[in-house]
Amino acid sequence: MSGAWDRDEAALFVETLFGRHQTEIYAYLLRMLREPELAADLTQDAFIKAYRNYETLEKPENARAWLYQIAHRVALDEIRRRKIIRFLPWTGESPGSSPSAERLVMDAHLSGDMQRALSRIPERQRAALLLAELHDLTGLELAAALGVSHVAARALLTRARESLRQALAAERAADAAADAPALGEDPR
Amino acid sequence: MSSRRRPGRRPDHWSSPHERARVRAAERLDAPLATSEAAWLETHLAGCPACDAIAEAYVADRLALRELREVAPEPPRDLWARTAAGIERESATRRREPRSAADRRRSLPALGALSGLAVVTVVVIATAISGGFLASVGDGVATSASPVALASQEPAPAPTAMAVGAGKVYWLGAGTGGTFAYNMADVLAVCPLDRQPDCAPFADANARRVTISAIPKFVFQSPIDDQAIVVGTDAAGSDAILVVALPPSDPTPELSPDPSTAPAAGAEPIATITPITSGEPTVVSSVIVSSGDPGGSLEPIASELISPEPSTSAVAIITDVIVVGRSAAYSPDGTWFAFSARPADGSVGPDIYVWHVGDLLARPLTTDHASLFASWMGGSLLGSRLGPESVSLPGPSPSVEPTSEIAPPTDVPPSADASPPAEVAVILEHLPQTFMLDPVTGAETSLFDMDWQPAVDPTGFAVVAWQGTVGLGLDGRTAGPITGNLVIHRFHGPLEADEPATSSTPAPDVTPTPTPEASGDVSPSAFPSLAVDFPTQIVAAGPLADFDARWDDTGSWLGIWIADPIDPTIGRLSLLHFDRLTGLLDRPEGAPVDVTALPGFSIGLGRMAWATPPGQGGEGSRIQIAAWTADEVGAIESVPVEGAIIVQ
Repeated sequence: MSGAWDRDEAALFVETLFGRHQTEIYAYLLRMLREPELAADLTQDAFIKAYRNYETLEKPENARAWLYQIAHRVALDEIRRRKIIRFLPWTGESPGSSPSAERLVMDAHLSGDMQRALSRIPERQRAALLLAELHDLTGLELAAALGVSHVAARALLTRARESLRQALAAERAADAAADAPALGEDPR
Repeated sequence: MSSRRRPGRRPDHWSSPHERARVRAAERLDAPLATSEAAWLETHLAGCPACDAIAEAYVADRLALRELREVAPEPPRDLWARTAAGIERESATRRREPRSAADRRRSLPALGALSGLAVVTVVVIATAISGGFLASVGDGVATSASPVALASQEPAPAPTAMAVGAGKVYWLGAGTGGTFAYNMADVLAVCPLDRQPDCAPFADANARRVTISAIPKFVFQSPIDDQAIVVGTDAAGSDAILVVALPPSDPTPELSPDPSTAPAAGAEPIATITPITSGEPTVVSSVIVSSGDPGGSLEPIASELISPEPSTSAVAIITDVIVVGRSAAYSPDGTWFAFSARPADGSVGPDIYVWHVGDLLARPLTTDHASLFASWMGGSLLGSRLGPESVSLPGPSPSVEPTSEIAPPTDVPPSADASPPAEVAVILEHLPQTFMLDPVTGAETSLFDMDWQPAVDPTGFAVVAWQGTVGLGLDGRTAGPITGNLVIHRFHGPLEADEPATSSTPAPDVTPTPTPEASGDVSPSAFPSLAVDFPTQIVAAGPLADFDARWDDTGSWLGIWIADPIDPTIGRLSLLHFDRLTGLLDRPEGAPVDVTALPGFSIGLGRMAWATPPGQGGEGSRIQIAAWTADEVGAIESVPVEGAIIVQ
């Protein structure tokens, strides 16, 4: 893909990429940021950046990992810029519309222990888990998407699993404490 | 595969077998463990209910996480329309730009202007070179395959020197009677690659004679005052680090009509080269005062070792150590000097030391005897050490002795099992750990990137580092890269931080503002806009015996020195350009590529300087300088210099 920057070629390529990967890129960004409109905006940004950086894609077969790398950095940049260090409160549909049944189901899913636990772990670890477990990136694709070496990506994933385990344990403990009657409270 | 190998597994690597079991239980979800490790894990889990519960939790958590797959959110239906409109806007913007991204990548930033930010004295000299050494005929000494050509034996046509921004280059050469010559050159012009014959070699001139009762290995010039630090080895083989206060350089050097006739080297004052008339710019080798004690007898390290003149003294800030690695450096603001060293008796491995300008002694910042200083990032230090074990592989006999040293993370000396038969030796590969240190408090912060010996650019945006595995050598002290590559990638900052280490990481489509601490005294406006995204790029493919990566003051140029796999006392040096608009590396035409160079080079202010190995037949080294402008790269070199050491 190196060489002269061909606008038409790049636009056509990105359009093809969009058709193939828009759903998963949007899903990844939504899972990272939990805000549908923001995820849509960032998906748009990611594909525009793909167009802008088209010449940096060395092999078309790596386009998916390359696209995830762009999306990942867009997400991290947004998190940093907005100082979002936790998942934003779920806002549902954009103003003026009613939440779809699908989104209500997703909301229920995302509001559970798992989502809260994910929100407690560092974003890079969260990204590694999402990309590996929900988006089926291979080890090399994961490394490329995260912008680290293969071994570093594996190590990050290992740390992420431990962080998630601890975070889930904390969530469950908090749930148990909330459900238990307060000390001295009459259970009747 | 690198040569590093270690026999057997270090039992002290893991903090506990439970930690090892936890890590392995998580790892096996992503890739099968080695047979022996899998067997060990099963055995451990069978006898450790708590560990077994954690392993089961990993599996259960994974399944729970994967349940989120059941919900596949759909993007808004108008997303393509919005994206296409954005692409069209982007395309229209690019049409208005005079040059494409590729063109920008090939172009060079206006470093001549940036060099005005230099901390060194800028001397703008525009003069006719009539009689100057660009017009002179060289001495005809043979050179290597370096792109830096010597002056031709043939009469040169009209000189075509290439003016570059001002900036000084310092080097140390052997003088007479055991003394050394501290030299400086203001290089104001070089010759393009295709006109190298127009640049005759320059000479050190009126070098200041200094006496050093140790063999200098590396020399560092303070960025803020006339002070140098010398890392030297004494007669017993121990290293000492000396701080030398240098007298002011002579601001008004004399004229030399033909520098090509100057003596090859030495401490005796020789003709000085200074342009005196207006016209084209020329190369100037200006002068430092010459005075000193020719006796140069060996003295105890802690005593006054360098006596260029009565008012100049040297103070040893550390003695009886072995200075490890090639990364020692002043901080960007010149108030600190950092290095790695271990005791000369080999009792423990290296630690990171700092010396604050004005203090009597250097002090250790780490005490694990396993840390190496990597580079400065603004006012903080970056270091690295061996991290978790990655994998064990059968190891061949080493063909390369690594040149950086690190001890195991305990005070335990190398055990008796350190020398098994070579046929059973294995390489223990570790992941590197990178951390940031506060030079004042020693507070340590883990970094996200698992890099070995990272060199971060002055804005904290990009980093050059070894990515892969590292390991110890047979001596249990020596570490270096094993499998992986030397790469450049975006710097991510602290591991668990909410914010990156510097504020220079850009938000999308936003030009970042480098932090003042990261950029030192350099105005943020000096830095071109940064690419938001750029791919990890391989700078040098592994295996590598050792390397030294240094950025210039703008974060746009990189010097990369790679140790020779057979003889790590020499290496190959390349100059690379980092396009901060695209995040891509390139090699501008005329830039040195894999030139043979001694360890230690300087880069900054629009130039890179290094010393070549001594030539055949007893000829000394040469100081070679590549300098660049916004449009091209040129070069020039010195006459042979005995015992040349570049001042970094």
